[in-house]
Amino acid sequence: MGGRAVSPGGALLRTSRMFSIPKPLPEPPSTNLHIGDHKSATMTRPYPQHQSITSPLASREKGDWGLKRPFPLKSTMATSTPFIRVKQLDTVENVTNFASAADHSLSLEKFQELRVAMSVPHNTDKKADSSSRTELWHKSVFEEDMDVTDFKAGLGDDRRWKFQGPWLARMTEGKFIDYLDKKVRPKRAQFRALLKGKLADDITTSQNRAAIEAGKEAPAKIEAKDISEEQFTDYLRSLRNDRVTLYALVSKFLDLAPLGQPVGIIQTFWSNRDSLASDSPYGKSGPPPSHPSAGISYLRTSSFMENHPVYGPQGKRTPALARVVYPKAGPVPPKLGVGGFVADAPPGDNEFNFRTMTRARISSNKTMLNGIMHLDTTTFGGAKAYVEATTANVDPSGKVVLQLRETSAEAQVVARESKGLTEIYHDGKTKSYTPTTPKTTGQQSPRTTSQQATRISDETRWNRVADEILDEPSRS
Amino acid sequence: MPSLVPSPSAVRGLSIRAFSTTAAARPPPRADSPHRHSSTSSLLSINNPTSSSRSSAPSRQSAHRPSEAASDLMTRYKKVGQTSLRNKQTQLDMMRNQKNSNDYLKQMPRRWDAGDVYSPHDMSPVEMQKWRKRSPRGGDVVDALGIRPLDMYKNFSLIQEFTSTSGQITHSSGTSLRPVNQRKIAKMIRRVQGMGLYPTIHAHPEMVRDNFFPERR
Repeated sequence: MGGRAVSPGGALLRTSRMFSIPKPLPEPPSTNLHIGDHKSATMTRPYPQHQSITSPLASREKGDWGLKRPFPLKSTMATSTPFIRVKQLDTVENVTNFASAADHSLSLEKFQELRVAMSVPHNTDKKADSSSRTELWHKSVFEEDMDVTDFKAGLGDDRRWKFQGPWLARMTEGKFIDYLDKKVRPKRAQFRALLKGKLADDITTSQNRAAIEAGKEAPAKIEAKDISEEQFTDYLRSLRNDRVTLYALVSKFLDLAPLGQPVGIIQTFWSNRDSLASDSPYGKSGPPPSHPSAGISYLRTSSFMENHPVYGPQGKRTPALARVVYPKAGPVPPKLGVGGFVADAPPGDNEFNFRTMTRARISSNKTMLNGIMHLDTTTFGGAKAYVEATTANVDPSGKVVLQLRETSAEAQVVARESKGLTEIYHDGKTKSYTPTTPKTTGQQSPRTTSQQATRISDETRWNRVADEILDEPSRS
Repeated sequence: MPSLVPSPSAVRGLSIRAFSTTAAARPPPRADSPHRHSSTSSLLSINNPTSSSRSSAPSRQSAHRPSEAASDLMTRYKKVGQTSLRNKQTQLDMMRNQKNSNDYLKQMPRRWDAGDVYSPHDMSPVEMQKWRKRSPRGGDVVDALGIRPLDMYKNFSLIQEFTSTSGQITHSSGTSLRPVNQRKIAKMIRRVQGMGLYPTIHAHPEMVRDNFFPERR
């Protein structure tokens, strides 16, 4: 039984490109209020807002892009990247407003070449005792226990990425007041009923426990309607003083996105309550606006070993050439651009960080990259370095933040050789593994022979010992 | 009959036995190495006649040759001078690089954030110049902050944001407020100027002073 037959009109609409263009996404919010003032209207946005459209060459030659009217050949044929984004299908001037979408299309292509698996944000200040082993690895966003969107109280409910309610941390004051007025106030009666039910349950359980301890019959179950007004008011007052419980109840009721846990004494109280924030990976960083993979990569893991046709399995993955986009500016780490995505330079003791030596003077570290401390004005095209992109995650404003790691020297050489920049492979015999003939070893200095001694087979070693003895009188 | 007093041989044995069972600490290796002619080694071996005669011979020789000692001194001074020169050179290089870098970075006003996406176009000078000036405000500030404009009549920094330097109320195209909020703001400014709290023909003196003495902020 195939799909239901659609009417001709419906089929036409379904296959129509004009109707398949989705509504554009909103403008990315400026995260930093201070820097938000400075921006360009023509910059590449952190995520694409419009669908990217392409067309086969045969159609493009006719200007046919599947839209209402043909596109000008002068602009659409003179490019090597035939991607357009349609900003407006119809304008008052009877033209279609379009622009090139090569920036995001090529960025996507480059990102997928990096073969990066998206992961949930790493919670750094998580308590060590709880699930400490799983915190060592990056967890994929496609794990079954986390990749759920439906709101139902049950297993994995607190590890969702999508919530019905808003994330209070990044609401402006005006929006927050609006939210209180329009969404929260109308639910008052509902919440009071919920609290009454909870109070009734609490009283029933405490009564039952008291009865069991006293060895009596369990008393009748208390219903919500049995609770007096004074009893309920007292309960509300006690709740007002117990902020942790109240917050857990409210956030569960309104299905708010989790907020970061408070640090300090409160944390000890917090840890033994059942709250939404305790387990959610998005408690600290904030929930992503889209699916946490952002649809940019569908890889589950990056834990695989790459195989080189000549050198065999590689310890490190193929590194990517990163551009130093901006040098270190005070406490701000240097910014590297990998495949069109800006990322912080890898932390740790590597060529991207400088260390002050013991005598409070800047170390003239020879291995440090040229463009890190200052802008590199001598290298053509700017300073570049090989890095390894480990994982990426989506931050609350929709940006894809790459996590970089330094790569090994061997991986860099292999990557350079694959591009034809260096030549390290040769077909000749490798020196250290070739058994040298007794004739030549006799003439070698004792130091080099002692260095090689560990690698050569016993027979050659015996031969050499014999040679040393025999050559002794002739040499002296 | 076994004697309670230990025999003299046993006492002698006790006296001979080492005080501690651990092995005696060996002298540091440099003390007894004959190839070293440091002043400390010669001093340490003063009491040892055989070793001192052997080890101090070359040092006495060098002392006997003042020209050699002087040349040693000279080479040491030269070395010190060279290293200090090299340090100074690196310092100069670093400062020159710093200045060069700062000059170029002035032409790149965009501050990149982790997660930004760029294409070749974003690196162009034309695009970079756009980051230099402040872009006009997009949204409604009054709505975003959730304030009541009529209560803000004592907030001179806020009034300054919505007036020109000559005390005129900014048009709604400049404030990007929605009509309701623009009317409220305008009413507040008219009131505060009518009350004589805010000047009508120039910016507030407090704000003017901030232009001249920015450190007072």
